[in-house]
Amino acid sequence: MSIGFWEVLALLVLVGTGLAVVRLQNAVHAALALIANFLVVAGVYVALEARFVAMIQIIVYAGAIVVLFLFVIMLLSAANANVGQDLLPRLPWVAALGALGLAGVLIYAVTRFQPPANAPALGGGLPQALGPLLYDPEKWLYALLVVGFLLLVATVAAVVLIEPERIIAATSHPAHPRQDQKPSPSTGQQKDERAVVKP
Amino acid sequence: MLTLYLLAGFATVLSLLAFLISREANRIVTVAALLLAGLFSLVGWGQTVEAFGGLYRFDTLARGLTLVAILGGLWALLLGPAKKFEFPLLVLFAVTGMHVMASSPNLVVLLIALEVFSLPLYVLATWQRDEQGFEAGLKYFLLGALGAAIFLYGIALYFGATGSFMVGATGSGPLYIAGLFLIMAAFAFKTAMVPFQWWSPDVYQGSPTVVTLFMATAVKAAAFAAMLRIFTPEGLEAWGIGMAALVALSTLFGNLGALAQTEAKRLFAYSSIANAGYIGLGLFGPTGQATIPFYLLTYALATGLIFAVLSMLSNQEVPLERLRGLWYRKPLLGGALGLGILSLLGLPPLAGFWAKYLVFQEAARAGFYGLVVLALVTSAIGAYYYLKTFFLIFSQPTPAQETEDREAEAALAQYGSSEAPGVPVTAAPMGLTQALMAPAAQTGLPALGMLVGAMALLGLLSLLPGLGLRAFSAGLPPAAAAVTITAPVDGSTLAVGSHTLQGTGRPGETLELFDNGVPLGAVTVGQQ
Repeated sequence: MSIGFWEVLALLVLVGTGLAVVRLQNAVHAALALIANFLVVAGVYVALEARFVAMIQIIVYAGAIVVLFLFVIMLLSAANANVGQDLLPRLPWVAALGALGLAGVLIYAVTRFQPPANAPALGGGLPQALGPLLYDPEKWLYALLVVGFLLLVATVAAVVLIEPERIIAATSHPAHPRQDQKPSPSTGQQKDERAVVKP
Repeated sequence: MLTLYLLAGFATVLSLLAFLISREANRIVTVAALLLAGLFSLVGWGQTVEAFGGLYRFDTLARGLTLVAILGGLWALLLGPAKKFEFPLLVLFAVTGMHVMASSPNLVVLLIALEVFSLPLYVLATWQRDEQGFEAGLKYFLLGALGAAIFLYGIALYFGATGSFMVGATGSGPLYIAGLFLIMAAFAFKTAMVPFQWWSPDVYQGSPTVVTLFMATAVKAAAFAAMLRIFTPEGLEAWGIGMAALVALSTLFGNLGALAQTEAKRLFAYSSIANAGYIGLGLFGPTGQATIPFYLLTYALATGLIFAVLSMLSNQEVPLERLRGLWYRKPLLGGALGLGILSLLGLPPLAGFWAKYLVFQEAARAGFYGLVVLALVTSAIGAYYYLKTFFLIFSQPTPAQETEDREAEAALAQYGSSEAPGVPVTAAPMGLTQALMAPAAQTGLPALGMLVGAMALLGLLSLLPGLGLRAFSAGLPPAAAAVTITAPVDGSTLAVGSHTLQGTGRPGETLELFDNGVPLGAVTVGQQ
């Protein structure tokens, strides 16, 4: 495969947006650069005969996940990254050196690699070709089921992580003083907690 | 197979059922689910069950390390806070993920399983909901996510180099090595090996003590199960240098760092870094599939004992000074802590000694003598802080501490927690089951039973280490080079023509004959 104009353009845009994501100081700008990056990645996927993955990349990553990122950034008014004290002002240079080193090693590894001569037919990467692999009990069905379980775990974990009050009521104790000591609707529940603590 | 169905089924059903039953009933059901799953891991021990086209492989390694993970989960459930029904649920989720991880030879499934058990642990780390808890959860999450990303990229390179997602695929070249190294870095994150250990002291200290217990034992078991499948001795030249560096740094840093600690949880966090290094030694040898599970079992028992006692003293930090005279104040807790510490130290004839001896032997067999010497020296350095803590337990308590004990008892009666206002205090003396469990757990008897049971099992493994090792060796292919030829005699000259070889070997082994590098034929040892 010869490298043409569009490949070089995609490469430049990918690297450019990637740099923008890590270097932009405004978090909203960075998230938008990430979306641009995903769109180009999707285009590259199409060119590599992975069309369904390309569409999923746009729908799920750009359409759902980064939109959640944007919600969080905007709800927390966290767009400005330059807050607080910079304790390690030289750190970016060290980190850049480390990143360059890792990139150098990986580029060396990739260039020393001979791809297999006859690649299998991909069927255009359409879901018609992916479905039989994904839902075949002898192929990837198990991984799919575990992913489903992972999503259940993630949902429950996220709910528990943000669930307010119930657990805080139990820590209203002199050794762990709360900031606000005014009586709250949870007072009744505190008694309930203690009743369990002392059988 | 049934173990997987039990764990995943109970976890799924309890996600909704827990709304309908009481917190205590929920905890009992979860404990029962773990016990059942453990029981069905034992059924058919030594046999390999494969399913889903080889993506699920339940062999002795998976069985043994699932048992260790379940043991960690039981510790956490019996000692843990049950103020919310989600605590047992998250522990059950995590154990399910660890089981999936321990029983899959497929890298993609390993990655998913890694997330399945990591996500609940991120939440459990913040269970305390104070500054330290949030710090612990955040650090654990960020570095865990970074580790997962590195793992994923390693898998991609591995697939690129070998064309397979299954472990043990043959490959060579820089791309293959780079993939293996990235995967190794990800597991070093999970098992807290240097230089990927920075999160672990903070997370261990900031998390509730029972969660720390769970992390220190079960996560290591799951991660090493996967490492044992990926880093087989056949590919030693590809990954050996990286693992040797990890082991050397971990044992040095863990033991030297622990010398400076004054807080018990942090001390044992550094100790667990060192122990991850020692376990790593087992990967080099030919029979690591048996010795590493043995090491992890004794480690889970000893660390479980230590953190169980710490969690019975306080769910917060435990400065080492608070352990002074524990033996005289609470003989059972003091004794359990002492036993756990001596086992971790590797003092003969305790189980920890046999475990260390076995993994050292693995590395020596592979010819890594330098590593073995380094591990021995650092082990001796580690003896300093283990013995310091041990003697602290058996020294005389000060009068001030007896006052503290009384205050703790009063605080317990008043608040249901031994943390009295202001002064740091210890829990009430032994004899009061209610006081024994506070503040971590509410039920005295099962936790006490767990403590005594773990001590008994540790004692059993100390006296009969062969029992445990033989159990973990069941179903493994026999070690090579066990065929001995008795006739003709070594060095004798034979006439060209017809002569026969006689010797002994284990059934099923293959002997190949070579004449100056030219293969002549192979013979399989038969049943005689």
